[in-house]
Amino acid sequence: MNGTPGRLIVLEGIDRSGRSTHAGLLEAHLRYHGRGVTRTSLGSSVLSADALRRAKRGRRPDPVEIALLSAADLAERVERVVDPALRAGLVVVADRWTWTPIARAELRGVDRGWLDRLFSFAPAPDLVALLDLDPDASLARRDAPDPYEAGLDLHLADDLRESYRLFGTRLAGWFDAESRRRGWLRVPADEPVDRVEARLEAAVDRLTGVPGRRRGRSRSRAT
Amino acid sequence: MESGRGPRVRIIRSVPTRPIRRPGLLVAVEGIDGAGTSAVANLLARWIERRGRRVHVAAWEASTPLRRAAADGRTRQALTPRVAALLVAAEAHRRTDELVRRPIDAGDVVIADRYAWTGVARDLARGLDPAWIASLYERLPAPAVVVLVREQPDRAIGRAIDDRLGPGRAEAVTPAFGAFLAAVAAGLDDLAAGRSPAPWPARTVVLDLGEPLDVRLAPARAAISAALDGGEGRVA
Repeated sequence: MNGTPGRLIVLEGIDRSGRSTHAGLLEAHLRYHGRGVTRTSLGSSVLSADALRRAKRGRRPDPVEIALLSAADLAERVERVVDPALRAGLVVVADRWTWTPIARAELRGVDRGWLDRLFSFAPAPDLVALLDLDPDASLARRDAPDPYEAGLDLHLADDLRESYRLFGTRLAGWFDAESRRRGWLRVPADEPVDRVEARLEAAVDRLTGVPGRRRGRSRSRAT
Repeated sequence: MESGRGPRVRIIRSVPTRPIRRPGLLVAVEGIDGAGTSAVANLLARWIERRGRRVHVAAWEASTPLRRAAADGRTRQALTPRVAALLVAAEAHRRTDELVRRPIDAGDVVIADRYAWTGVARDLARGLDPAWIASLYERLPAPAVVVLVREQPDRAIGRAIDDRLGPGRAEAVTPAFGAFLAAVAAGLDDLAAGRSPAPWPARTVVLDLGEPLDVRLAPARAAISAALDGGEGRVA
């Protein structure tokens, strides 16, 4: 628990694993049951989003600079959106949190201890769900991958899609180890959307007490 | 050793000679706005050049993203101390790669006209956690010598305002800016005295007021001399 009346739910997973689809479905589900919801997603800050895009597209992207800009992006959203919402008792659904930028930097050789300190300002989530998707399936679901997200700067392969597949495999391995260590909820993302949705909703309901609280409220109103 | 008529040395095998590659060196000159860091950096640069080394002076301009953000009403609100600290540190890393790391890798000397301590001291003045701030800069190349140029904040402010707004405009300064500069000066003193965590250990020389600049530079020259001769300051 993060020490506030609110709840922080994080969806992590590689590209095209359905994070934003399921963030939207979770928001609708929670709102239907009367909970206030705020959503936030990686790279959506006012101050850092453009600089982050430029840094990733540079000729020689610097993973330390990109980690610092990712932290600036998250810090702005934590201070303007997430912290106030949690204090007000809302549920915050975050499309990625500290782990995606940490993974991208650590896989490029940046020290993990330094990255953990850098992101230490971020509140701890109440629930992290990893949408498990095979890199090949991710590749099949998308057109041209972003060169930085494909790890092209690591010179794993000359071909963009092949690089994406190889880097995606490393990323999947990183998330696999991290999720085991931290006991995250893992949901196979290649199942039909409603099956994935049901599993996420069950976990979120246990955390937020959503339908139970609603029944309780209507009972007390009836008496 | 033998004394003889001719050379008694016989070449056993020839060793291919390589040009002697001297390690690069980074010197950081720190101080608040108007303290005179540029004058010190340029004097030190000329002195090192006379010793036969190629020198670059790199000016710290990491506040560019902050000025841009503060000028825009939409972005000003989002500019909290933590976001500002991270944006400035990111900009410092971006610029350092070209202006510091590459010349040092080529064996040159770089004098940074203000460097990480300035960033750290500004963030300290904004009230952030000292250890966290120091860690933002620890991935930058570490200077062999840090020269802290000290100046009374009120005198420095007068000079900084003259530089920015033109002479005689000191009345335009808000008290908040004066208080901020005084807090930055205190932060730099804390770093020099080891009271506040620095991004890396570095030999520190504090240049105090009073003496003519040329005399004041003597301890800085001595420290840089030692670093140049001892081959210190190789950047990891």
